[in-house]
Amino acid sequence: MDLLISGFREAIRLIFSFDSEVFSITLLSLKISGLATLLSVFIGISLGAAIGITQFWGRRAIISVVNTCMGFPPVVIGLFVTIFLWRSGPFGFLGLLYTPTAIVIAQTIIATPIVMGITVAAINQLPEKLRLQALALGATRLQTVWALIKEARLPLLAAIMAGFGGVISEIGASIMVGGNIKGHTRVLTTATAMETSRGNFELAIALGIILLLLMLLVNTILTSIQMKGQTQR
Amino acid sequence: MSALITIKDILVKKGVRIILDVPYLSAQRGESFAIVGPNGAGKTTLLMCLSCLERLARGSLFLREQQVGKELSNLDFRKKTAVVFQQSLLFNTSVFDNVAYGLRLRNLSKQEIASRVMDYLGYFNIGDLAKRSARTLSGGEAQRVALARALVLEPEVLLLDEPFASLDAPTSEKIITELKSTVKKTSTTLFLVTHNRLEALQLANKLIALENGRIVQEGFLIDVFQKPANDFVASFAGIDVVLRGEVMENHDGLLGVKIANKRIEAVGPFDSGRRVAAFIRPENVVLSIADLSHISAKNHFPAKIIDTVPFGHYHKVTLDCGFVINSVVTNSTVTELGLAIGKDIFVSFKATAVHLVAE
Repeated sequence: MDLLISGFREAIRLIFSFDSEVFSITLLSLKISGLATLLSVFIGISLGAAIGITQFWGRRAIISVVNTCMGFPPVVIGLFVTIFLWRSGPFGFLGLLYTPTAIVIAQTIIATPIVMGITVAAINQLPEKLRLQALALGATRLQTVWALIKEARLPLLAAIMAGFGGVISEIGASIMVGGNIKGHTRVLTTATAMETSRGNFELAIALGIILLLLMLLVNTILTSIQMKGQTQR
Repeated sequence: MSALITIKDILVKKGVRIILDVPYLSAQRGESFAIVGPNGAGKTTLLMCLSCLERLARGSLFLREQQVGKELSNLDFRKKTAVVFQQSLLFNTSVFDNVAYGLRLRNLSKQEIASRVMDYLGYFNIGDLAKRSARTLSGGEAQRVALARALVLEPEVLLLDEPFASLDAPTSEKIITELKSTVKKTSTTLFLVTHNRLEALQLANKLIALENGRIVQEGFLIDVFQKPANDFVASFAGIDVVLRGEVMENHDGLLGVKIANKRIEAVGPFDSGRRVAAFIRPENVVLSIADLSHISAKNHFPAKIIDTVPFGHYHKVTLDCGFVINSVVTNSTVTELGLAIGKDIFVSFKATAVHLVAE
């Protein structure tokens, strides 16, 4: 119990003293996961909206695959990204392994199906004739897609939350493709795991609390936007 | 005068099933059509074809002789039409933004958009709702906004898919009155899918009856109501009872038709032996206490009243005279003749009041 209390005390000290190491790890985590979420939102919403709106042969199968990928183990994604970026792998010539870019790639692959799956579900729950209504009012296809995305914006915020939550708390892929290199690819989750294994519980608890606060902050902002949208209904 | 909108040889299929097969249909500017038919007849599909929102297996759509998709792009065509569905399908934004949506797509100036939106909100008496979120509106208010959103575009063709079906009677009556005056003022060509006879009578001057994806009858409402082509149209026209029988003889077009062991006289082109359905409008069936066999009407039967149902200013009386027939009479007639269930009475109708259709 003493260990836990002293751990919390140390955590609060590290947070409020703006410890440079903790600060740089936090900033890097935010940058990597923020960028990965942004990319996954762009790819996931575009593809999700296209699948949600268009009727084509094999659509159900694709939706099933997307839904399955929503729960894909990050460590497996980490494994495949590592193989692809390995020096002798297909993209080895890019020299991206053990760089923040590699973590962004892996996290984007993890978050995209989550955003995509929720986007498909969000678009599907809109009234079937809303697409026809937008077209009938004189919208082009692109304007229609935009109108539908705007209509589904509240569930889409949930997609962003789920995507961000999924990647910021992910460890397997980040450690495999990033290597947990101090000052270079060390993020909150990999640092927490490492400090725990070293027995530095105070630092590990501090990093854990920061991770939770970060998630809480982002989700609070997005939830308040969502709630604002709902009260306008 | 050339037609405003024409469809030629249109075929819509779902898999191998034919959903709609219309060889030809055209409408002039200012004409208004009620599209009727049983569920699954193809009414909404026809409306979707007329709004260029349906994928066609075959056929073409023309606006003022310009073929849509060739001489006129689909988008340009859609910008000249407007559709209102049964659900109001408003966007999750303010009433103003909903009504302004189509105008913004047409790149009108902000001032013109504001002025037109407020004008049309005014037409539908919802000007005070402009800033309200569309999601907070009642069903009637939402449908008014949907109609304003369509009419603000000042479309040449307005397509309505049962827009009043989910509204209560007083609200829909009010909206219909407002819509009627706006459509008339702007000479908009109107197509209305409806199951409601009163809506059709109030808003349309022509009727298109569909069954199994094909037009079974088309014409002026008044003519169709007098001479329905089949049971469904007859029922839509207010003829609840269809009599079935066989032509016994034809003397220069005056037919003797055997119905339930009774003989009724009718006019028509059918030869003896032909199976026919007979439709008699209830307002053409006259009731009397005394036998009126001396008047010009060819058909007289003693009958017993089996039901009377009040409908506001009139009563619908159902009678059994060997076959079942309906009559409508004013409330004062009910009192004067003492019409009540079980009463014996006489029924008369002219041979020309019987509309026969070959079975």
